Amino acid sequence: MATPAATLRIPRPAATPPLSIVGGGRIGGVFLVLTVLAVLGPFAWILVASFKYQIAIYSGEWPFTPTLSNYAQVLFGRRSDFLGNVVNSLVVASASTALVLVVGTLAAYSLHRFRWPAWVSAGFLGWTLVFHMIPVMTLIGPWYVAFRELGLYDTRIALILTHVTINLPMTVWLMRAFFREIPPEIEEAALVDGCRPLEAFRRVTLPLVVPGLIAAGILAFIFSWNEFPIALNLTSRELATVPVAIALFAQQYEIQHAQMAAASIISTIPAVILMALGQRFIVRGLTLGAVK
Amino acid sequence: MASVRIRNVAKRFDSVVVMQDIDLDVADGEFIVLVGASGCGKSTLLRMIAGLEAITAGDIEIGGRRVNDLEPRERDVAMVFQSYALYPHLDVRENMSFSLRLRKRPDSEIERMVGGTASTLALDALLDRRPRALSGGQRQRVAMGRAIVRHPQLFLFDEPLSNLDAKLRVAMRTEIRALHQRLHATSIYVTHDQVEAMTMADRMVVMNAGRIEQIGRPLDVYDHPETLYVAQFIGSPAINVWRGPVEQGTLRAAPGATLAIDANVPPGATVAAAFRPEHVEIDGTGTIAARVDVVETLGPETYVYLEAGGLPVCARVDRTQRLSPGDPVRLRIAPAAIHLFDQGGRRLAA
Amino acid sequence: MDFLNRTFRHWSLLPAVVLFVLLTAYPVANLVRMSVSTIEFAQGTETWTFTPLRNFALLRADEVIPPAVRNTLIFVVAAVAIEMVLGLALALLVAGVSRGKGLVRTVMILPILVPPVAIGSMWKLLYNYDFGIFNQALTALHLPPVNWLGSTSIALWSVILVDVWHWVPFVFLILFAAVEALPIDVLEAARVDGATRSQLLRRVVLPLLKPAIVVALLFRTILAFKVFDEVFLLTSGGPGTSTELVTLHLYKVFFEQNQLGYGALLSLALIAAILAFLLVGRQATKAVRV
Repeated sequence: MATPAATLRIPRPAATPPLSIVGGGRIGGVFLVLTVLAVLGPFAWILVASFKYQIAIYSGEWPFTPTLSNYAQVLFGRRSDFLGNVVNSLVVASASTALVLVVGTLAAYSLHRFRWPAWVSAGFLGWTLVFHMIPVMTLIGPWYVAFRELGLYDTRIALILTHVTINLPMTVWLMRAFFREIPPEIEEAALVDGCRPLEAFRRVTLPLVVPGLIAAGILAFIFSWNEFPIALNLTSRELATVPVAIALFAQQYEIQHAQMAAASIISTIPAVILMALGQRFIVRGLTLGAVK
Repeated sequence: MASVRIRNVAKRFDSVVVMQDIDLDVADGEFIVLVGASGCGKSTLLRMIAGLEAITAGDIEIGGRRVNDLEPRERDVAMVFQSYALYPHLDVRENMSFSLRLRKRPDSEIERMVGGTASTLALDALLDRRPRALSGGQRQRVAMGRAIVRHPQLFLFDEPLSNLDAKLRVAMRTEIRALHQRLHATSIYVTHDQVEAMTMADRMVVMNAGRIEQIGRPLDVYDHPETLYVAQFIGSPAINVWRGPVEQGTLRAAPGATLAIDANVPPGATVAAAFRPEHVEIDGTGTIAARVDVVETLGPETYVYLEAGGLPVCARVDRTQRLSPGDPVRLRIAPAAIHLFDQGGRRLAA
Repeated sequence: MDFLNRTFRHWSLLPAVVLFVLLTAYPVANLVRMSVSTIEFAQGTETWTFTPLRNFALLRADEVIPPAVRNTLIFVVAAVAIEMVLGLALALLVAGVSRGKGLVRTVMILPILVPPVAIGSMWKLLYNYDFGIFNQALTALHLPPVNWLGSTSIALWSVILVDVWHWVPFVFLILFAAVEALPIDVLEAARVDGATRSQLLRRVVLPLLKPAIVVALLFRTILAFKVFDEVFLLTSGGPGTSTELVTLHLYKVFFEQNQLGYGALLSLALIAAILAFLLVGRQATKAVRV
């Protein structure tokens, strides 16, 4: 069937592809590039600044001599607890993520699979939704009082529990959405084959929602790592997390700008890693969760 | 209404040529059916006529006007999509009046035209419903109504009946045909179902792998296929094909399977002989010995699947003839009913 | 094991309920108690005094509340409006591009995942009067530098800009997914029916995108009311009260002024306001849906 191309005259195509609704093609490409630049630009500038000497930042020197001293000062400096902060953040984020995944997934499955009276399921889901909308600051006040009364002020437990609480709504809603995508016949087949409810869940359902677990886990970890107001007010210096440490930089009398840049960059590392690895899951989780 | 001229049209996607040497003239008011297997290019050709795909080479004229560079909305064509493509956020009335409202026609005119079309298609009771509240057949009629309301020069149908169940398909076939007789609208209809093509077309265009195999009136194509592909594609059950060398007026397809040929064939050449089931006679005096394999009784007629000299044969018999699997019979096939094709599938002069 | 199976439906839901009730319902109930008291922590002991009127008096005398409420409303309306328009425009523009979509999706997640505190600190550097890149660019163009964070008239808008940069990608991702999911054959049918580009956009694309737009709008509005981290870092409410927001003020009342009782009263007022807003919003979206 091959015809030499010379015998076919090829005029300019007349019809435009259907999805180029507003722009498409060239215009879309230009805006795409502009957008990527606008998003990455600030990061790039801060990244560069983190490798500059403080004086070089002030003078806007370009090109510049790079240095690792900012990172060294932030991480290993005598006056810096940043490494400790990182450890705190990792511990709290990991623990609260594990906990919220367990509690949230079980709850989501229970609501999805078992017939609860309307007031239970609607009540719980509605409750979580309402608290998801309220600024956390309103709860931190009573939390502060309660934790102090219980002697749990300035403990990792307090942070972990509160982080689980704020991530629970999203986890439950997200896992519910993923459970909904499983055809009920699969679980019914398992029950017919002889599985008890717990086994059916463990052996059949759970493996099928692993992408959901990954998405929810990533999001829970990130939000816990990023969390600021609770950590700011329920911990003191020793247990401070990374965001609190960054805030401390900004509140100094003489702000160490270069080091603040370096600290900021370090705090974005989990985000960059998870973005590179888990991009598919995150986008699916965000859009799936958003469509509720 | 308008005529359509398609001259020397070809289509390329990136570096792959998917269609070439397409020449077709559609007369004003004619109902043309493009028929072929999946992937033969019939839908692509239709979309090129509509303006949804670019034309790589060649010219398409609608109503005497060259439309290669025109947007779909400038071509005055209406299209019925396989998936119906109804506007989900509009009700039936708004779906059908969409094109008129785009052109800012006066409300009274829109009312009149939509109302008229709706009663023609028995959609009156459904005018306020949304597409999701309609059955498949109802949606199909709304899609047609949307096209009819516009009174375009040309109607394009892209496999509109494929998503309907068998009974509904048969009913809709007649309805579309009846509508065409009333409106005398120039129509180009794409389908992979050769029964639809045979029953609906004024003329058929059989396509295969991006090329036109044959154009003609349904019965002409049926009786005089120009290529082996056409012979095999049109007609159900499929035409019988025996291959073999021809020696002195006899085709030797297999030991025990020979046919008398009355055509001039170069000796020793291998040909394909095709003969329709209705031309296979089963009686006691035929020249070919065969054994009955399967008998299919359809009601008005019966199809018998036999084996002769190891080759399969299908014969149509009257329902009065009682045959059972395993019966030995004798077959007769008139040489005049045999179509001969060469190695390349082209018809040999009879 | 059998017991676990039989009670699975119960113990699977129980931890979540217990946790949530203990850590949300109980504190909210506590807020009521707190709002009519004055609480003092001294030398490791805690004293509660019943002073219902005192907190209300503090509320009335609080001069920061009016500007805080006003700023919060300006912030939410302006930021969400800009983000929705930009996000929608970008989603439509980028949809027709054939290559690079994966890259865009990956990059657009970044602002959502980065700690908001880090975003605040980064933009604090960007906005710096002396060496921040904006003023550097302005001086390079022989234009006067702008006091982004120090001018009472501009500061709030500088903060809004940061929020826009932060959240347009989120709106974009949601709307972009919706645009990609549009049924192509319906769009083609509209083109054949005679729609020009702008008619296609107005009469088919936008109506079909309405559900996604509503979702994005709702999400963004809820989140916008909760903003805290970036503002805390950028301006901490200043200069003056030009960037004071309700959440920020709440923080200061609780933890800088140590007025825990009064803060509880403010919290309750805020919760009530948000719930009222939600109810109104729900009625409005129900009317729009039909």
